[in-house]
Amino acid sequence: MNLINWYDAGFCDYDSALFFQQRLHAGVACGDLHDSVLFQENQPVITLGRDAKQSSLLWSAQRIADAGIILRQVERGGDATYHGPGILVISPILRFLDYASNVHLYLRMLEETVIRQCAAYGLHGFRKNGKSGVWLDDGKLSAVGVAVSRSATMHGLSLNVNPEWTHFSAIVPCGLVGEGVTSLATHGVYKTVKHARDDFLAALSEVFGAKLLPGTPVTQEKE
Amino acid sequence: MALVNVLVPDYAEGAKSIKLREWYVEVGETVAEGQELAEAATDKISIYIESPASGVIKELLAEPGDRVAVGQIIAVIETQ
Repeated sequence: MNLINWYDAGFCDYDSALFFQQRLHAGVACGDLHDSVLFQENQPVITLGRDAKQSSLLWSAQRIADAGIILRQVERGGDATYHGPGILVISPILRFLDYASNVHLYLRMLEETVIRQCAAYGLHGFRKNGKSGVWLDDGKLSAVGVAVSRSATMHGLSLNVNPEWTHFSAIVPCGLVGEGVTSLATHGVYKTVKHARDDFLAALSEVFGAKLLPGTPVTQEKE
Repeated sequence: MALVNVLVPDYAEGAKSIKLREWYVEVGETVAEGQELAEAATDKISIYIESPASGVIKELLAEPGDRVAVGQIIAVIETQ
């Protein structure tokens, strides 16, 4: 059984967490660190994936800045995504070939993890043909987008736990016109981000067949 | 001297469509084994393609924006 260390950057700015994620990725890719998962809850940020279209931004840059939202280009696939308070951002940094034969299957395993988490809450999460992520009947609950470098993954998925909706109107989430977004709270599942993290970890262990242990800056070096 | 092919990695299999997004190197450039040479992407996945050997880039066989397939040769490296 593979061991995955998990880390929680807590409520933090996107840039700090990205720096930590890049350090973890460097360690995992060269084999100095165990596979890892980084959790974070960001201060308001819109991330633009490598396929982001200008039309996916519905607010002007000035209005976005005035609302206290930062804009960042990121190296994952996908379009525009909003992260902010009440949204759990999950970045598995895994030598994914230990779990899946190809990166497409790996993406499906991430979705399966959220689907099982939903099931534990009594919610029916599902995939939509041609539209990645996990959906509930009224919109997208979880967005996915990954990058693979040196056979180790980065980025991953977001899970709408109980976000403030105002900022979502700044973008067309994932570039999907006419599709809504939803959250656990919208469906009567009131969890803190930390509780949602613990429930995700339980589902991740099941889907990936891995043992999950908290990592610390002191113990993260692989023995 | 030997020629080593750079392939779209097998682990990208399963993706409906893979597009070569960008070359990070050019013909004649010296590269190291493991160095990232190019970025390819599917809808939700960015894939950074590494050099399988140290040497000099002899040919680039795909252009940014081209659709590529798993196993396709996209570059050739001449090793010492």
